[in-house]
Order: sequence, then C-alpha cells, then structure tokens
Amino acid sequence: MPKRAITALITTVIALVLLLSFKTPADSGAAGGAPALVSIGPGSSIGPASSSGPLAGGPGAGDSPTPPGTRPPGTTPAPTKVTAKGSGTFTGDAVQEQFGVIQVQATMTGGKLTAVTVVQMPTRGRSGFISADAAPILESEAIAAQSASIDSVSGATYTSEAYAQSLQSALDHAKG
Amino acid sequence: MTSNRRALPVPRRWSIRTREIVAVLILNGLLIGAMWIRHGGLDQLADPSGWFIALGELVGLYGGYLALIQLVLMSRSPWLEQVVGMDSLAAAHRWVGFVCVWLIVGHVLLTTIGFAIADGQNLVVEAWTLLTTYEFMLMAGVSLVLFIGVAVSSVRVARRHLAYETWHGLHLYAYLAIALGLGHQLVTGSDFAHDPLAWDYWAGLYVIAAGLIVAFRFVEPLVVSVRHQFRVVNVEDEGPGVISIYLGGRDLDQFAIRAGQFVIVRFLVRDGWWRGHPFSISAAPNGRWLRLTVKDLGGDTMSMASLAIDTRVYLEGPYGLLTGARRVRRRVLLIAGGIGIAPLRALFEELPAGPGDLTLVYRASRPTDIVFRDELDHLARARGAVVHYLIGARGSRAMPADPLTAAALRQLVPDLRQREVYLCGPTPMMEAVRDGLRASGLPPGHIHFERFEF
Repeated sequence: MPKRAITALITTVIALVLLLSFKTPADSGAAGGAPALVSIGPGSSIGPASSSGPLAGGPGAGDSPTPPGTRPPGTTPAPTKVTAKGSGTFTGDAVQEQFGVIQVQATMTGGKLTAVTVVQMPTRGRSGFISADAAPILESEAIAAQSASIDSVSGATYTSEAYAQSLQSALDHAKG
Repeated sequence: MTSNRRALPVPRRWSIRTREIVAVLILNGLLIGAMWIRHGGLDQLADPSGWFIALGELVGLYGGYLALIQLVLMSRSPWLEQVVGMDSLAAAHRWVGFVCVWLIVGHVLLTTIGFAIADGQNLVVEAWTLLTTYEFMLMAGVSLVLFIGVAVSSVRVARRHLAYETWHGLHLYAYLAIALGLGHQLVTGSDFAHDPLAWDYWAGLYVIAAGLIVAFRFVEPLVVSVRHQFRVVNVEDEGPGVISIYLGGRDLDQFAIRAGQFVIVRFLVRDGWWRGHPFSISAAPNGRWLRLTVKDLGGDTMSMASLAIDTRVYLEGPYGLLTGARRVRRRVLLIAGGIGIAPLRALFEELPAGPGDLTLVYRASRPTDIVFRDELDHLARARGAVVHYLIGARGSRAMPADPLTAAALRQLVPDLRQREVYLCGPTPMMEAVRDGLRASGLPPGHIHFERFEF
C-alpha cells in the first residue's frame, strides 16, 4: 500500500477516536441538552379563571417550594383535583423529556390554580418551538381543569406529558 | 474450442425490471415524505423559523435517502447491475451523488438558519451551539465536511488533476460520512426521536443498504476467489501496448461467466493488491482458463507485462450486459473500435450462429493496432462468419471518410436493420455509431453497448 494511504488511514483513525470521545454536555451533565434555562409564559398570576368551586383542605400557605427532584420520565401519576387551600407558588419536579428538562410552577390563590409558570424548558430545536407554542395552551387547559389532567397539545405529546407530570407534582406539594 | 460450452454455467439472470426498481425507490420517497407530514412537518410552518426548520428537515431526510441509494447503486448487486448495467449505474451514482450533497448542505444551512431565527442568535453562534451541545451533532458536522470533500474531489476539474487512486481513496470517506451522519439522524432527528416506527423503518433502510454492500462487494468476491483460487498462468503480448493475461484456477468449469462480460481483478502482489482493474474476457469461457486482454492506458497496465506466473488473483464479478443473453435476432453485427475488440472477440467465438449470421466490423487507426487477427480469421472461416477490418486514421488517404456511419455500414452489411448490434470501443465512437444506427431505423432495443470509462 502506498505510504500516503497508510498515513491517511492512521490520521483518520486518530481523528475518529477523538471525535467519538467527544461528549456533549447532555451526556456528561444532568441538566439535559439545553444549556440555557429560559422561562416562558406568563410570569405573574393572572386574574381568576374558571370557577370550579372552592377547593378544600391542606395547610401549606406560603410554603417554600421544595427543591426540585428529577423524576424518571414516562411515569405520569394519576391526576387528582387540586385540593389545596390558600395561596402561594409551588414548584413541580423537573421532568426529563427527550430534548431537555421541563419544570413548571403552579400559582395558587385562595385554593385555586390561577397560573402556571414555566421554570425551565428546552429552548432549542424543534422541541423548543413546540414547548414555546404549547406552554400557553397547556396553561389555560390546566386552569380550566383546575388539575394536571390536561389533553396533550397535538404535535407536542412529549412536552405535554412532561408538563402535566411536573404540574402534578407541584399540585401535590400544594396539597402537602 | 467450443465443444464443451453448453456444459458451462452462466450467471443467474434476475427477472427484475428497471421500472420495478424505480417504483420501489419512488414509493419509499413518498413514504418518507408522508412520515414527515405525520410527524407534524407541516405544523411548523406557522412562523418563519418554522419554515426554515421544516424545509431543512425535509431536505435532510431526502439527502439521507439519496445517500442510501448511493450505497445501493455502488453495491454491485447482481440484480441491479444486470438490469441497469455498470456504466449506467456509475452515471446515476455521479448524478445522485451531487444532488445528495447539495441536499445535505441545504439541510445544514436551512436548519441552522431556522434555529438561529428562533433563538435570536447569529448564525455562527447558533452553529457552534448546535455542534457542541447536541448529541451526535459534532459527528454530523464532520460528516458534512467529508461529504463536501468527496463531492468537490469528483467535480470534473478536480478529477482531471487527481490520480485515480487519490480520488478513489477520498471517495471511501463517503462511507465514513454516512456512518457519522447516522447518529444525529436517528437519535437527535425530530422525525425519529418520537416515533419508533419511523426509527425502525430508517434503521431497516440502513441495514439493507449496508447489507448489500457487505454481501456483494466483499463476501461474494471473497467466496468466489477462495473457491476458485485464481492465478496468473500466462502473460502474452498481443501487439503494441496490448497484453493478454491468462487466469487459471480451481473448478473453473463451475465459474459462471459469459462472453462479453468483464471482471475486476486485483493481483495479490505487495505493490498493487489494492488496485482493482476492470478487464474484459477476450475469449469464450472454456472451463480451463480465462483470458483478459488489456491495453496500456498509461498508468500501471504496462507493469502487468511483468506479472509473475502464479500470482494470486482476487476477482470480483463477472459484470456486464454485453452478452448473448440480450440477443433476440438471429443475425448479429459486432462493431469494435480499438481495444473494444476484447469482449467482442469473445462474443464472436461464443454466440451461436449459422453461416452468414455473424459479422464483425473492426475499426483501428493503424494496422499494428489490430490484435487477434489470426484468431479472428480462423474463427470466421470455422464459423462461416465475416470480418471487415477498417484500418486507417480518419481523414487519411486510406480512410478519407468515417467508415462507421450508418450509410457506410450498410454498404458492408446490407441487412443491417435486421441485425442485433453489439458495440464496443471508445465512448465517442460508440455514441456516434449508436446515433447513426438509430437514425437509420434500427430499433434501440437491438443496439447493445456498454461504456468502460467509469
């Protein structure tokens, strides 16, 4: 074999080994692929939404949010009606989705779910767009349902599931 | 010489038709588009960045699809080669290759622009983020560079300045490029990440394409070469710059090959085993040896005159459509230009023909360029066939006009239009003769030729 071919072969193998040993932050870090965390969606509690009666029970007014823990994706707990009384913001678990982490914060006023704020979401890629588009829809659905029992936004099934899961855990915190 | 011909095996013929292959390719193309729509490809068109990303995805999908088609085109699959011919496959490969690389470049540009708009970033920052934070994306970036390199090295201007082997070596990086692009498509690609069905489908496409390459480029030639143990048994001078290499081996009467076909041989010597040579067999298969006749085209063909007897040979093939299998008519006209005589010499021996059925027209610029003259004259006498030698540079006193125009040929062969025609020679000559014959009313289906410059 000509010398040049051997040189090329060796160079290629070395380059390939270097390339394959490259780790994206997604591989090494725990926070998922999206480097920047951006909050999307309405920041403050908006006025009262639909009325589904007073919600009873539970302490936890002004609770400090529990530190978010990551739950394995794909295990959506059975949705329950919000039963927390009082007000405050409750941060849900950070849920790992295909392209990043979704985490939401529920704002409760007088025992009613009045707003859902996105703490973190994938910002880039198709998933990022889907999330950005889906977040307001999912929020209004949750407020209407007064629970995490929300329909998936079409084209954003994974985002919707992760959103619901995080919201559910926020509501669980509110319930105490 | 031809008594045991009937006992010899011939290559299997596949009953696949071009239009069936094209139909399968188009169907898969539509399926890919349909899956993209099912995955919400069109839903993205709500905003400008979505337009870029949607189009970028689509273009990327088809770029990947064409890359896989490229693998199949170059897999030397017998069913494909027998239907389309190696020369047309090579031409298609060239064309599809450039389109494929343009699509991949388009995919990268459109997707990056789309993400940049969505993120409000400039292109360079966005490209950097994509490369460094997404799984398999750096590999995909390297893949892009390799694809572009392969394409640039194949542009005509570049080809002229590159040795064949350099170009071929660079071309091998296309395999690496496809492999490096695989991850970002199947893992990061939004058309696959969420859909196991699409993932399985594409993985299946990759497996099929790679499987064909492995089976027909590596396993089959290896099996054939080990089974038959091909060796150089003789090397002979045929004329100025033309030599014949005789290959012997084990059980050659079991090796399926027909007159008019060619093989790709590698002589297993320290200095040159990596080089494959496409050589036509120039004598009808006889079950004892194969004769390959080649002209020195510069390069290294000349060193073959010094090939040691007993050199081992790795052989791929046989390939080629220029065989008796395509003959429909009883009467045959063979037209050879220069070294194009090699496969036609084999056909002249093998094609079954009664007296008067077989005519050979052999064109050469100089008398010394005529090879196999004794053999051809002998075969003609024995078979009741006719040979016309047309010797002389065009425009010279001996050959004032082109002797291969349809009108000139009809002077030599009055029943031209009732014959099956086999052509072999330099590409311009073949094209000119083919066009002339078609114009004179010979149906295209009865004109057979294969280009050897690929």
